Amino acid sequence: MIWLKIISKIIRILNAEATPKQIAGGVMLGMIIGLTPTFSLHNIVVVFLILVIKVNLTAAILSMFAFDLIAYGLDSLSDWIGYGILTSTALRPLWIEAYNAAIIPFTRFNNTIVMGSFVISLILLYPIFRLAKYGVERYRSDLASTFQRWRIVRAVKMSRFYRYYQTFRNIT
Amino acid sequence: MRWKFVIPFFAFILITVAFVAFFLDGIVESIVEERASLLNRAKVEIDNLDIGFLRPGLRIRGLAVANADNPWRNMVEVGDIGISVSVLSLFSKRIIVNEVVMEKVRVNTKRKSSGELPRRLKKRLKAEKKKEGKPVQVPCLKLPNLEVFKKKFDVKELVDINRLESVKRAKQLSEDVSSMKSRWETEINDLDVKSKAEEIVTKVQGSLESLQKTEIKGPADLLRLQGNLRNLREATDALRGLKREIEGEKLDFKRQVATLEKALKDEMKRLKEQDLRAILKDLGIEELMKVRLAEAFLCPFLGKAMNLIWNNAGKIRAAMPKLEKDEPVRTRMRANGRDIIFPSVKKGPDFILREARLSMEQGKWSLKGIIRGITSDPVSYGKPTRIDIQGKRSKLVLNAILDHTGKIPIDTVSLDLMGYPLEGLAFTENPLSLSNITRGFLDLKADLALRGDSIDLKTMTTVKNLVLDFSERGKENLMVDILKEVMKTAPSLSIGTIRLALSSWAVLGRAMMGIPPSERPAP
Repeated sequence: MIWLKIISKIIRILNAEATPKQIAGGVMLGMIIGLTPTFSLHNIVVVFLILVIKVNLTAAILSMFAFDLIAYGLDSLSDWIGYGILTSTALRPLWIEAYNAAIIPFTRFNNTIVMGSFVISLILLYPIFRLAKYGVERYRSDLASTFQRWRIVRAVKMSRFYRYYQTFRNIT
Repeated sequence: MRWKFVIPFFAFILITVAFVAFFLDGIVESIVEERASLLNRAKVEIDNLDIGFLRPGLRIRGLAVANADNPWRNMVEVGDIGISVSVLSLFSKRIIVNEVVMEKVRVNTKRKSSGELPRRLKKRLKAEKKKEGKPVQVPCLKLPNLEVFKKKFDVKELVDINRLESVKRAKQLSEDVSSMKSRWETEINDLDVKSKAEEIVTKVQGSLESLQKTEIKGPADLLRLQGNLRNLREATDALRGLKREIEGEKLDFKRQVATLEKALKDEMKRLKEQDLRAILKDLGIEELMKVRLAEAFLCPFLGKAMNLIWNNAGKIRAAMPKLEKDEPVRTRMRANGRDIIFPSVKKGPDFILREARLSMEQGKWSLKGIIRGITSDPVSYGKPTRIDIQGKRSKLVLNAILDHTGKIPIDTVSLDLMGYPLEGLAFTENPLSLSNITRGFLDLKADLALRGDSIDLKTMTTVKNLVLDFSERGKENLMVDILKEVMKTAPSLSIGTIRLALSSWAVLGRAMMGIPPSERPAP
């Protein structure tokens, strides 16, 4: 059971950060992974950042799944943006240089969707951070108590699933 | 920063790296041994394999490659192999090997255990085995038995015109030509060019006269004028048609003549050779036409050398990189987007082996050699590959320059072998196998030049102090008697110069496989 304890400790460390800024940071970084194709080299860097910087891991994971779903809808837009950037005459020398460099090609930057979605995620980085921070603050100050009173929330809290969740939370 | 996470994470990474570094050598060693054994169809063993990380490179000690045909012997044994790679090249797409060293290379050594593949690998080999093309074999030529000249022949009977296929075919061709001539004459007559032309000319003249006389006074005259012009147009078309017909016939005739000419040239040549062979067969000296003394005499030696050149030179040259053009920008559709392909900008070859040193010992023999400048892109490297090998005890000097830096690859190889002992060398593959060499030394000088697809091979072989043993076979062969007499007086025997100058590999292949006597270069 020592492995379980180690894992639970790691998760507790990673989940300890729960200030609005840290949650917003998690959402922001999770968005990059969610919007861009998951198996790209730059996502390793993002995952590393999530693990190292004090951001909320649960928020990052949830954000990743949520933006992954949104990404499917944005594919054609990503393709259009990516194609425009990659075929731009002004940037062509830069892309040729990157294409012939050592590690950069492994990022698949020359794929229209990778490039397009990465640019979209960079554009959305700050707005998402602000929005998530505002959302968390607003929830904590105004909505939390109202939310707790909802019947559906009370029903969930009484379910077996929630009991399991609480047991897991107590362990960690 | 989450230090409580970061520190254990990096500690874990460090431990993993150390673990891999410690066990990687063994893992790579076993993979190399297994893959190489499968390729070799017999065991390939390595005593020790070291992968260098701080100074990137590889060192293999005690490499033994078992002989698949004789598992109790090693095909080759190498005491020490060292490869050092340029550190900077590891961070780019290029691989630059600074040095490869192979020391204590020995061939055909005894093994302490059998080199057969273990059962597990045998099964895998069976599964992986693919059919390979048959290697080209240079045939050994036979010397004639000159005893045949002791017989008497009726020359008239031998060259009887009725027996000769070439004469029969010549007669037939002559008939064909005359029938073709008469057929063409008939066709030309059938065309009736003269009368047709006269008819058209009369029509044109009539139309022209009518045109001159025509005075336009009313609409009826305009209609007549139109009719005359139509007649003129029709006459012009008819003339053009006639011209086309004549040109068509002319072309047809030219084609027939060309076909006949080619048939005459090729077929007559073949038939003449066939007749000559038939006459020689009657004389019992059919093989004489195929024979070149030098080839017959040194067949096993030259045959093997030619086999080696033929089977490997083509492969090596095919594997050599060709001139590449820059890739154009193109797009490729993919389910999850499009990959934009940018041109490759080469800042140098992808692979360079700056220097490889080799030392080899085999009994009294020893070899030392250096190979410089092996690269995947000789054009951008700009230097040819140079091979310099020197041997002791039977002096050997091999120099090769493989220049693929220009549009046409130029490879030159020169081999100088002096004093190669011939004792015990048996000519088992040709009629001179009636002899064995008791003593003798071979000097061989060969120059091979490959320019594009053309080959120029010159060899000079000299056999010194040759003592042959005729004790067993061919006692009644006149050829043997002649040779015996020659050997009594000749202190050294130069087998002449064989020169091959061919324009393509295909021609060489045909010459070797088919051996039509007339198509082979003169000795």
